[in-house]
Amino acid sequence: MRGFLPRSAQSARIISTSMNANISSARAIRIVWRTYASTTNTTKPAFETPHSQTHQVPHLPETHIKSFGTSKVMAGPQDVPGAAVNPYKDGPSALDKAMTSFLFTELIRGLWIVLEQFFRPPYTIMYPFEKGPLSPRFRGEHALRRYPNGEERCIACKLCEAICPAQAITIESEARQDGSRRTTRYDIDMTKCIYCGFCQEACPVDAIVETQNQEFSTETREELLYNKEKLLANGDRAEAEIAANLHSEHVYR
Amino acid sequence: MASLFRFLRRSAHESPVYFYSLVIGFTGPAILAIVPPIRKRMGYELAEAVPTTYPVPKRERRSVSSEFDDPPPSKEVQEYLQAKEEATKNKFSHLYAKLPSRLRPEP
Amino acid sequence: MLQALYLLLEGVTVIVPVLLAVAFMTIIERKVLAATQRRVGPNTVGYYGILQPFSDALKLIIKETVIPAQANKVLFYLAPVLAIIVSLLGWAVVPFGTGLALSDFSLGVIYTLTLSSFGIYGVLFAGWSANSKYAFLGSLRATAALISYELILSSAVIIIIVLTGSFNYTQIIESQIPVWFIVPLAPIFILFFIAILAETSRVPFDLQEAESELVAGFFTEHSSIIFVLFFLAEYSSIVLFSTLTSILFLGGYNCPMIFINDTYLNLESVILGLKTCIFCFMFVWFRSTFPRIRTDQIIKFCWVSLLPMVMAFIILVPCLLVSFDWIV
Repeated sequence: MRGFLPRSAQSARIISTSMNANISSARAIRIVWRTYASTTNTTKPAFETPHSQTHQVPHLPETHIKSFGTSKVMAGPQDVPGAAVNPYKDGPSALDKAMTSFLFTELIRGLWIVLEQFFRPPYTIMYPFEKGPLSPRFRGEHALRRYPNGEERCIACKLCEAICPAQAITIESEARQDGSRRTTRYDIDMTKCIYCGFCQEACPVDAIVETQNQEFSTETREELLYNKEKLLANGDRAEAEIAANLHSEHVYR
Repeated sequence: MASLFRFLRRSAHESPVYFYSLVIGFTGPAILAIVPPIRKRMGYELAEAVPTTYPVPKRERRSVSSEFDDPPPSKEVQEYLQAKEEATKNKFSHLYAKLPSRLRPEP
Repeated sequence: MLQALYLLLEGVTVIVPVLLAVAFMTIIERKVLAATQRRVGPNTVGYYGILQPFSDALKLIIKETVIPAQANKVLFYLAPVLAIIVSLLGWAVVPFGTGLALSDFSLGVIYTLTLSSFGIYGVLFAGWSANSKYAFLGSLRATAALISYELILSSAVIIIIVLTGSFNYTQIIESQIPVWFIVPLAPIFILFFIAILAETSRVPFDLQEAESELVAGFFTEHSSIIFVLFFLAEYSSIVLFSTLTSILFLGGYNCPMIFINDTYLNLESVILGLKTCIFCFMFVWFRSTFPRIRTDQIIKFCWVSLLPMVMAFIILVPCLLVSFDWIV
């Protein structure tokens, strides 16, 4: 880039500022190219325009001749000044255009494509009998985990309660009889919960996790206000699955 | 002529609907003018028209012999007919007489 | 007395399968639309969703009929009744076999065209009686499109009549024994099909209904039974026009006589039904493929593009017939 000659003082200034400003090289190249492009004369000379591009706007023969007269290169037998020009020479013939417009060629092509789709199998999943795939990171129903020896993991640090955006977690803690720090009350209000997974990320001991279960709908609202026993029971039921999911995800967490 | 050709070509490209409608439309009378003489020269005969009425012969009416005439009505019948005609006379009778018999009003 | 009973039985024998056909047309439409969109339509109610129209009808009948307070009650109830009566009356002249029409009317084609003109009143009354601006405008636009495409329809049908020599549907079918009329009159078939799509207000000409945009266009205000009647009227006219297309262009119940049918089964009506199915499928196929055309484009298309072509053919075909001496 240093060997590159700027086209004008202005572009030189732009190039020098771009080099000094520690912009990434790709962006600097782009800036340099735009300045170069804007300073050159970008209107193409008339003799470079292919003949077929002009047939959409059929010019009168005289205007063609004006631009042709400047160059000695492209004057062929059909470009005799004053002769009639066929603006429809390149492109579909009148009969092609007529058949397209009367027989709806492109419409029939669209119809054929749709007909092909008619004979292909549908993508639909029959929900209660077939279910879609769920990833191990799927955030569903919450569960409280335990250590392998049966001790509950939650140490009432209240990090999950602090980070919950919907303030759905309520924790009260007390020292247990054997002196360890445990909760007495751990409620998650599943109707407030937004299933974002922040509590799962915040927990330092992987106590609160979200399982892959999303089918826990109830018929009364009170059943959805989970308390500690419910969450622990969830955890006991789904421990193997939770452990497998956590193992597969632990490098990313 | 050249400008006519150019006009036709331009209309064929720019407004094909009108152009081809007129082409197809003028083909009709053109065929009607051209084809029947060729057919007649090639020997095709036009089909005979389906008769829609009785083919009345085109000659003078032949007179009928008088042996098949009915005898003239007797005196009583003639009086009865005259009495009926008097009874049904009204101010339009002279006009009704000009109508064909099937259109005359019933007595 | 017995004669009247037989006539009634004949009428019932025609109307009941027609109503069943109309009901199944709705589920056919939903399933075919779904299949072209690579999904499955209704599949819960019966096997593969066959009984869906009956559950739809039941739901709509149980619904509450809501009438706008300022609506004109007489016309409000009259419009759908008129629409469905006119649609169902059109089945009286359709021949389901040799000599098996409810009434082998010698002016059958004129009867059908008159009924389709009459159906426009249903649209007009519906929009007017609902007494809401949008329904009214929708019905006016629909009426304008309908009466414009009447012309194309009638003209295309007139060409067939000229080729046949009679207005009677059985005569038209009999005169297609040598060759079906779609073979010489293919461009006219295209024009006729476009006219039919517009007459039944189907895509691409259905801006007046525009189900995804204006709820239901001119029959927005109608609910429950009234809506059922409009719905049935529309699908009945779809099936009726498909049948008419197969009669006028595809030879009706004609098929190559490869065996003599000595049984009492009416195979000819099965053939007619199969041909009707082709056109019903084409209606739904067109619906799933094309976007809508704007109302002014619809009317411009009719008067500027279709009408000159139809007039050209109306001039061409009789000239051909006279000069080659094919007048029947």
